Amino acid sequence: MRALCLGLVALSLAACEDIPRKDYDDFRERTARARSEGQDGETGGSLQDLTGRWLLHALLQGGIDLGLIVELEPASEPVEGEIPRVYTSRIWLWRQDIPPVACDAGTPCPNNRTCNSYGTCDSPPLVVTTTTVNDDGTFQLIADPLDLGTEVLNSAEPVKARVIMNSRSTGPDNWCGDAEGSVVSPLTLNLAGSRFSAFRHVPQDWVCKVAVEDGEPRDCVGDEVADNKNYEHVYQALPFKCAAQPGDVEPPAPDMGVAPDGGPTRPAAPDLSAVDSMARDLTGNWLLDAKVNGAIPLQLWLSMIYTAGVDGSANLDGALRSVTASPGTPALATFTTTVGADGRFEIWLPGLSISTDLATVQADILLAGATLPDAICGIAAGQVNQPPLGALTERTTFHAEPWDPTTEVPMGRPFACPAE
Amino acid sequence: MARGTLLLATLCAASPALGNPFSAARYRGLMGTAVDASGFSVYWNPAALGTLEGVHLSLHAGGVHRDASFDRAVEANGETPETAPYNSGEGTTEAWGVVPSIAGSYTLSLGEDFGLGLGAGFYIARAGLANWNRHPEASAAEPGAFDGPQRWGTISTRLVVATPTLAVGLTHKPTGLSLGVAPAFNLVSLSLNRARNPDQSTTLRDVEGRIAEGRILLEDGEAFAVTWVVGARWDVDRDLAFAVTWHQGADYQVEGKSFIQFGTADETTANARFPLQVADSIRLAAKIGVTDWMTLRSEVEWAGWSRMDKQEAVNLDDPDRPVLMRIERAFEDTLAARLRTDFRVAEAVVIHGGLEYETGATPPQTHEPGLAESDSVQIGVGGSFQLSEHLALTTSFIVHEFVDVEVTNSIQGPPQNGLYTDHRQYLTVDLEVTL
Repeated sequence: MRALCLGLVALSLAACEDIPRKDYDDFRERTARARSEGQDGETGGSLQDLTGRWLLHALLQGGIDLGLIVELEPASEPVEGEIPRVYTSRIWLWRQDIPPVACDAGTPCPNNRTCNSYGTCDSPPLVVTTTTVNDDGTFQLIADPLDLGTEVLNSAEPVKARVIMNSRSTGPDNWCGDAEGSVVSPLTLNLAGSRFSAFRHVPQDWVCKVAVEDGEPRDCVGDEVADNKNYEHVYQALPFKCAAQPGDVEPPAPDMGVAPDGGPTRPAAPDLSAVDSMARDLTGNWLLDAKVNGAIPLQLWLSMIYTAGVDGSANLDGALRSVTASPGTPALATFTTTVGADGRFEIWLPGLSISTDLATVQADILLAGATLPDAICGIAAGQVNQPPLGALTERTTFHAEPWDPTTEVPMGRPFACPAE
Repeated sequence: MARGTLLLATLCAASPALGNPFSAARYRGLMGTAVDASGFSVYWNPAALGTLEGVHLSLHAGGVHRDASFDRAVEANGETPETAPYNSGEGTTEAWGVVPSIAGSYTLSLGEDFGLGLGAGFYIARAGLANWNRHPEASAAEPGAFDGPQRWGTISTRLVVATPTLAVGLTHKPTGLSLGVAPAFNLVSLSLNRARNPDQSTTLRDVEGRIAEGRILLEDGEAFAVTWVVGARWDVDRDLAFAVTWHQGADYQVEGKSFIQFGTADETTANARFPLQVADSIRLAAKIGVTDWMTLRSEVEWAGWSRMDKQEAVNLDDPDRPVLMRIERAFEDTLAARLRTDFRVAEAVVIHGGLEYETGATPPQTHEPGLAESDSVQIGVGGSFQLSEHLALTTSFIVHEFVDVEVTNSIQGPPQNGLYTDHRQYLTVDLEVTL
């Protein structure tokens, strides 16, 4: 029996591929650039008196939108002329006491709630902690554990998190920063890279409005007043991150490095010296298989006319089309370049725009190619501007073979020069 | 790890079908019912082992082809014009696979009145290798769309339940009554990967434009359980036999490691447990020799799939065992009716025909592209050929058509409303060596 089992193993292993793991790794590779971008730089703030109530708007990792109420109260009796440094912090979910219930000495709060200094009822806070503000106005607000309830993640079980808000006060009415920590239940979510911003707030700021399609929101009536959804606009209108400050690292400009004269900058050509190349007539239709950053496949129909010169070099005029385009369809891009006596060439395609049924990709691409006995191949450089993938890596490769555009598009073809 | 490697390797040769659900038990093709008497009686009905003579060695190769699709709806799933190009539309899967299995038995006489059969086998009763087609034409604007619109239900799954088994059957020859039992030592291996957001939405970007879409991978999950196959058989005479079997189900607790990538967050890992419920099933079968050249075999089967209410992957690293991922199932018990006919057209040649109807376990509201089955019909033809005194070949070709399902009331998170299709074909080849 054991021998038979081992036989099965031997027969199977050769063709075995860990598909779920490969899919997962491929996704991480495709999104690696997105994960490495957009982290706020650490900068100091200014020392401010933070006493009071704040509405905090956070955008957590995973696209989770979160609103919190934070009340900061000096931990000791304030000294005249000094800015408090140590605060008792109380944290609530934004919706815990929505709609506000008025109270005063003669009208106590129901359900174990207490009447606050703003004349409305407060539920018991989720977290009570102590916060110390540094000289430069930075402080850590630690909410651990923070029970966010079930609505935040639309989960059956309450969401519990450990959140460390690295904050800086940017003025008398705002503090903001990055969050770290993690959601620990029901799932595990690292919160590093999450952002938040907090603004002064009083319960009376909660205004009930109902969204109206194609119109201005209207005031709530009847049961709409009790619907939390009708108050979300109050905190969602607030920014969730610090405003840019002098010295901050700016995010890439939308043109992703377009030269000051308005034209894209031509990148340095990738090194193809390791690929054997020899000149020959490249006239004809080609099916170009590419892989962007080694992960995203791309197929294009390449038409070229090769005109040999007397010195061994040649002119190469060409057009790129979608592989699904019919002959006669306008080209996505056209080009003219020269081919060296060794069959090497460069095709510069600034402002290349490739539209599919789903989206339009805009890029500035330099193709560095070599001529093989039965194909052409090479490496691409440049950058994809839309979607904002940024600069291409050296793993952006292509391979093209002759193809009849009236036939089916073959799959599973090479997308790079053959290995040495 | 050795066990995992074995299972992994076996799985790679396993069926792409996730049927009955994820059944791969088609040993002996159209001959495979509770009244079958062969080496594979260790699976179908160990009671038959006592009715055999001498040594039987059965080798099985079951080929499967499956093509299925899921056309994810737009409005019914809450997709917007902005997200629909990436989260809606048709996902397809087409795959081929082969399930190998082996079984054997030795039967001896205990005096004139009793026959004692001892058997052993190694079979793959349930397996699945679902690998949905990628969409290289999808816009690079959303890197997740490459994995297709069905990715919120599944991208790829590998499952195998491999079962070494022992069996014993005892026959009282004067009455034709037989009893048998087989302990099955089930080894489970499971890996799955699907798109996942922490809030169960299909959000692609957060309000700042950062990628929100994520993935969850459960890798190399393993479980083990012993279940039992118990059967009885009554051979009234040479042309009439009845059989009943009970295949015990199991609640496998598959434990492995989960890898979670939510949007732009750092990757996290957790040890996870994922339940995999397999139904008990009861089969009642009869074999009736209508004429010297024609035999009818019929079988009805009940399977208790209602035990699969939901599947919750829990985080074993947290003492509170919070849920990492929940898949609603609400499966229903299934009923199947099978009719098989055998025509002896020559001394060494028997032609088989088969027709089957089976109710689906999955209600519309829990349909999702990972594991779901609707009502289905199977029709097949085959033949058995006595190649020599000691060697027989049985082969069958079966077409398995599932009713298309249009789901509009999905309770999955995210919802999986849309149109589902599923078509499968099986080709089985079995060799039976008798000594």
